[in-house]
Amino acid sequence: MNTFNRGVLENNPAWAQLLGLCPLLAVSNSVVNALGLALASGFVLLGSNITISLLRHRIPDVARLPCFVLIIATFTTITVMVLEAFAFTLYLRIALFVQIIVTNCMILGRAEAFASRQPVGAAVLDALGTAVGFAIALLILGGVREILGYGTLLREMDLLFGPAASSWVIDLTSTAPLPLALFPPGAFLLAGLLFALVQGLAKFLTPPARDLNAVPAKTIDYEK
Amino acid sequence: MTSPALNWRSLVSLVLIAGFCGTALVWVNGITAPRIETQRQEQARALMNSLLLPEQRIELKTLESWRGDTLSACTDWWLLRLSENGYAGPIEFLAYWQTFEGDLPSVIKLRVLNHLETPGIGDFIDHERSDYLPDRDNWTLTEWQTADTLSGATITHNALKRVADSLAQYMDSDAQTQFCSDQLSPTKEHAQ
Repeated sequence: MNTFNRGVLENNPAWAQLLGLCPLLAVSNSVVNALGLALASGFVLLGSNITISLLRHRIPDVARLPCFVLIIATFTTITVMVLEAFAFTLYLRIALFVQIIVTNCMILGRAEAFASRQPVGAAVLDALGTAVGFAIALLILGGVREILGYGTLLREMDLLFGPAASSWVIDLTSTAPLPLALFPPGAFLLAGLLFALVQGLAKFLTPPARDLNAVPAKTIDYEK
Repeated sequence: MTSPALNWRSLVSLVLIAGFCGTALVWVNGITAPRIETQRQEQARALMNSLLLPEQRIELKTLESWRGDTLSACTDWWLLRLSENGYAGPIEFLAYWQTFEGDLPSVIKLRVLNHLETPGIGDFIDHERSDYLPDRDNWTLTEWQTADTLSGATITHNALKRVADSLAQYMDSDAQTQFCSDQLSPTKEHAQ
């Protein structure tokens, strides 16, 4: 489970590695958009990690990057087609950012650094950990921006879950507290604050390095 | 330093991987294509209804299909499908052309069915995101031709102007007469 936990927390693509920020900032103006992109990215990450891990002994080393991009592009195109067929309105909103998943460094990075060198089980755990970590960042940012920008939470969930989900909306305030949150500057500010908060918490919860290595295991006599 | 060259085994692997990807795409396309087509037709039908006046919507119901890229009951309104190159690819337009009695100039309404313009810059043409096109629903050809270009989105805006020009060229009186005489002729084949 260490592989999974590392992807979620320690190596989180959003707040630890700052990867995939373009779609993260552009799409996270509501929970439903964030969830749509999180599911799409997760599917592409999982599919490409499994395929690349399965084919790792067959992929020629000299042409590995074109092969990775071809496989990632295949899963991205499948995601676009499925989204357009089954969630058309959501597709119209986030289509461009789903299409550019193919260039997302987070996915290519996991393929190159992990899936191409590890067995399928480990590659699945790594993909799930990274996807969940990215989804958490997207949903937190989407939730905060929706509350500040619209004064609601879970609005328009019917775009993803059908007409029954339209009643899931929670009205928190009658007017939007901070409409700026819906626009790109608001996205940058809130993402910066969120990432700083997470880094601060991580530092607060992690013991200092001197405590981890308080007593040296061995003294070296440099004179000798 | 030399890099390892591609041998025949590597080439076979590459072909197999490409074949696997191609097969997966063809298979998914076979499943999703009919539904996507239905969704696009519904979107176009909703857009058409939004462009027409109530009495024109009744006329629309009497029409069975498009003839090429034109749809009209041969009264005073016309719907056309047009395509122009934008900044990042083709922009598919649905255009409405309304004629009036006397010397009054025709009115053009434009909506975008599909585009690839840059979000936040060229996507002002998307009526779901911006009121730019709905706000210009009563514009005439002259107003489109003399409109100020939007700074930062010149190519997208020029596509709008070109569509208005193409529409005017296409909808001259001869073309209208020809279309309506064909429409009345039962021997001509109607294209969807």
